Amino acid sequence: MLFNLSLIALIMPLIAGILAGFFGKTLGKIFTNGVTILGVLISFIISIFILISILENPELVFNQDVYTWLSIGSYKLSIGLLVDNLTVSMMIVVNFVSLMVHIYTIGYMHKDPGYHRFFCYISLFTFAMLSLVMSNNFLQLFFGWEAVGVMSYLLIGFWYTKESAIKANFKAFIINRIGDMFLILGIALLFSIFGTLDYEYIFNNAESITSNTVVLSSSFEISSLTLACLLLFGGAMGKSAQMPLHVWLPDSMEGPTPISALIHAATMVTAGVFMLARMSPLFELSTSALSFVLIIGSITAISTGLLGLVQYDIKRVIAYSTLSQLGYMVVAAGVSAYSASLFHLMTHAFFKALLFLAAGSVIVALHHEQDIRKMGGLRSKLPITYITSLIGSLALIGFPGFSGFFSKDALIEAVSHSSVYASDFAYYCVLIGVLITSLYTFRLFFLVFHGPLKDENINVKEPQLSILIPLILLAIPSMFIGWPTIGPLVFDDFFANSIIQPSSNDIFGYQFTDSYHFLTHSLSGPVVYIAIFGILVSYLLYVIKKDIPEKLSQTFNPFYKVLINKYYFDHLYENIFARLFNNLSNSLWNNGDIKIIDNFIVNGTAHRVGRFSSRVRELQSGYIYHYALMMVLGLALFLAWVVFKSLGLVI
Amino acid sequence: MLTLQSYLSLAAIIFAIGIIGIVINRKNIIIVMMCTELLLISVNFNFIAFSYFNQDIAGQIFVFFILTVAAAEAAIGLAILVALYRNKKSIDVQELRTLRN
Amino acid sequence: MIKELIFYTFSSVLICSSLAVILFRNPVYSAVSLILSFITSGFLWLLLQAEFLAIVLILVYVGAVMVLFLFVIMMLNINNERDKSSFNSLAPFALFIGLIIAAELITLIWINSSQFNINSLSIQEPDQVSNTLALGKELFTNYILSFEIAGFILLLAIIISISLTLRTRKNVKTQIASEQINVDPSTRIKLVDLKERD
Repeated sequence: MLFNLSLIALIMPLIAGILAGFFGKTLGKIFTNGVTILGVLISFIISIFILISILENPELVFNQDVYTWLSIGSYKLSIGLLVDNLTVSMMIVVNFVSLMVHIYTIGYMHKDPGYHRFFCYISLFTFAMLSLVMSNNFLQLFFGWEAVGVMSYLLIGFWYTKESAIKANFKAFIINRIGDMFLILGIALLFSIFGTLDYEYIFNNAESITSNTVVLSSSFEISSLTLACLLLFGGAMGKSAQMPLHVWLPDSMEGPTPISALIHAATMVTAGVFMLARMSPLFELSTSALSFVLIIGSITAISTGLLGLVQYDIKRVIAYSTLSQLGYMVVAAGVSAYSASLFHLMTHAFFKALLFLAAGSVIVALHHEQDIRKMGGLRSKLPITYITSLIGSLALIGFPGFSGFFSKDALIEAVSHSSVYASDFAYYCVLIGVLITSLYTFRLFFLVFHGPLKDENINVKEPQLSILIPLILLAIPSMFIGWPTIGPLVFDDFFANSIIQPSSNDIFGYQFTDSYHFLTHSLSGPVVYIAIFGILVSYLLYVIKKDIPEKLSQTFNPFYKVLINKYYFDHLYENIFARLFNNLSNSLWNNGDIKIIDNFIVNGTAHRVGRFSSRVRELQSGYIYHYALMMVLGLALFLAWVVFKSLGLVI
Repeated sequence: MLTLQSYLSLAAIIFAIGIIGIVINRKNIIIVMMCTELLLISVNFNFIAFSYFNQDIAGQIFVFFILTVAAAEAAIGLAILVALYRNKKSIDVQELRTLRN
Repeated sequence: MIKELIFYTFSSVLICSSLAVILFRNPVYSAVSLILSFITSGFLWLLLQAEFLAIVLILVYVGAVMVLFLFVIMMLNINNERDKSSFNSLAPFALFIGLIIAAELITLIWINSSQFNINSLSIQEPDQVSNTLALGKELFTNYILSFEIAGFILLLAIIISISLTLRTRKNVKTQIASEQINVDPSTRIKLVDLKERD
């Protein structure tokens, strides 16, 4: 029963996407958005139904193959579904945000000529993301992983006549390839060890290979499990945009805003975090891999947040915020607090999608203006957007009571109690990150909604209803979702059947029972006060004394320059790696392909034959007696051979 | 004492002369054809010598056929020569270079 | 003894006349030398008890083929004056190669003489049965098919020679009998209705 339902939930968006893609143009906009929204809605309802069924009866969790895709000798690769608590919570998040984005898109894209194409892509994306989270083996995970990558590529470059969009999608694609290479290497390593790609088998037998090593060179051996974890995390670094593979995410903001909300905030970029949680049985066996995860996550969390402080593009600020929050999730995974990580993933999906959609609402209201310096004082013109943005911002910085508060505080609490290597470093990183988060969030908020109203924005009014409804629908979980869910999700064992992690006692060093208990505990910690302090500072800097940021940027000019140039990562990649590879490819092309293969082997053979033949041609004088002489010469040589043979001189 | 070797040696000398004649020939193709006849004669010598010393009439049968074919060849060759001369106004070996190009 | 004398005499004549064939500048002289070669060859074949072939050689070759050669030479009227340059540039090399071939052949003959497997005693003196009769018996029994083919080859040579040398000249007024026979009244007479013309 549940198996068939999950199958329907998986393929509904696929069918809807195909229908919208093939028939959307002829059958019109109503059909297009109708069929795709219906597909995602069915999928969403089924997800909720599965959740309820599983909560009532945990025995219903299943792991079942749909069919065998390929069998080679004793190896068998299947397509299957694994639906447990982790999957179903991801399904709900994906479907809910996707549904909101579908509705939002009706308003956002209604004038765009690529309307049906857009709906086709986001539905297909939903399918790809669902197949990623519902897979029961690495092969299907990889399929979903690549499929969401392709959809992301297509959607970033959705406005394919815009050069910057083309460059951005190209960049995203290439950098994701680097991550995917690691992922497939990791998968290949696991396949070579276990001979199967099935999650269940690998997780159950992971402990038996803890002593296996991979010999990288004669003097350097590494535990194969650690290597596999590092390679898998390499894939996660690409998809979840961790340092130093983060550079594609800010550029991906060239795509339409609904995409930024759906793919580059709520779902696809969290695939890496999801994978870390799914692979917890492997990561738990390798503390060095966990430490690596922790360090990368904390560096990403703090450094990308700083970049958000200097950006003026409304979407890019939120994009850097996403990067930073992804760093938080990875940090949580690094200290084995997978449930806290997933909880943050979930709340983040809601409030970040909300923030993106609110930003999109502002952009639509200002006729596709994205520079926050040209905004200001919009709170009276866009009241609903203003309130929902405020909710989203408060949730993002972790204001007490909002969803982000619970998830982020739980996460930081887990880091503070962790004893993994580098956890102290991570703790300070995330604490400073809290301050930075509230600084850039409210900088954005104040610059957009407070201050004097610009003259050109006098006639601004709220966009249409289909844009506002998703904002409101997303604002509700952004505010309240933390209260009922933190207890079962983080403190209780909701994820026990899908994630292997220490008990919540060990993670938090304290036995929390419910959200109220946690709230009172957190108020005695520093995190909340740091966040509120950040709001006050940004109020001071961006509302009261507006000249201070300018002075600061002049005083700390070198530092400011580093930030404006995004730590020179783009320069590094373009000028060193890209140029290196360009030169390498050019020299291979010139020397290897043209000189050796073309000129020496292919054309060279013909040339040599030609030269040889043109010499031999001289023998073909046309005179019969020359030919006769040749014949006679041959006869003489033949006779000589016969003579020598008779004399026994040759064999 | 006349042995088989004397006859074969004689044939070998005639054969070599024929070969030299084909190659050194200066002007006209008719000489080439005559040299071919010389070669055939030397081969016939071999057959007849073997036939005599082995007391086997089959060698002479062979010579008979060779003579037939050689006569036909001479007739056809001369006909070709006549046709060639009509077209080219020459049977000069050094001017007949149409084999090239 | 008389045999050896005959053999060496005739073979020296044969070699000299063969050399003359390739050394004379005038093709007519060459042809005449070739006739001499054929005749001496015929004598030498008589020594080997091949009387029929010796006669055939003289009759067919000297009487027919060589006459044909001479006929062609005369017909083409090759300019002898132009034959000043006696040998081409390859002559020394060709001579060298030819000598080597001769040396190789003779070496081979003497090296392999043990393999000839000849029983000299079995050689019979002039047969009771004539050579022509023996040859005819063989030809018309065991080699009858080959004989037919040889005849066919000769027929072929006749046809080819004629077709190669046959010339049909244009602007020659001759009767074409087949066309004359195949005339049709309808192509010859054209009936015109005069009434309709008016």
